[in-house]
Amino acid sequence: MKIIDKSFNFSKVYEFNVEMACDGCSGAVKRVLGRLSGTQVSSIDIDMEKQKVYVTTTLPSENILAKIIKTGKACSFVGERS
Amino acid sequence: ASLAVVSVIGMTCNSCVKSIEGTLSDMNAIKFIGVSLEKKQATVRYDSKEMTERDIVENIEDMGFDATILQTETN
Repeated sequence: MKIIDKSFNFSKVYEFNVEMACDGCSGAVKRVLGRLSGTQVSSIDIDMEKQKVYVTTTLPSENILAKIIKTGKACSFVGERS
Repeated sequence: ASLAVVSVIGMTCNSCVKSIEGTLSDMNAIKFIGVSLEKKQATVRYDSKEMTERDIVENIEDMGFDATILQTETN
């Protein structure tokens, strides 16, 4: 029997392309999104090779994208990961 | 214009410096901004009627760095 964690059942994983030249840049993205965490953002995964950021959140993707845009890095919303 | 010296923690490369300088210099209230990676500081000359040093800190923190005011001079 698979136990599904009901508390996060409406949270989704969004994929973003984010131009990150170094660890400082990925650190900056993590720090900005980290401020949202708690109930709204449950995980932030960054893939430096593919320049991708995966965010598990209950917030709409536009809110997350707006936060990333504010860091001054080139970024775009790819879509929802199933 | 007033001058603020802000400590900026979290920068590790030149692209971090350029992104801060680029974003803040686009703001018309900011007359000059110089970011030093080695000293982990930003020196900002700004129009204190349009912007407070609190706004400068918030803008830098929105970019994902930790900023605190070290010194301000208003003239």
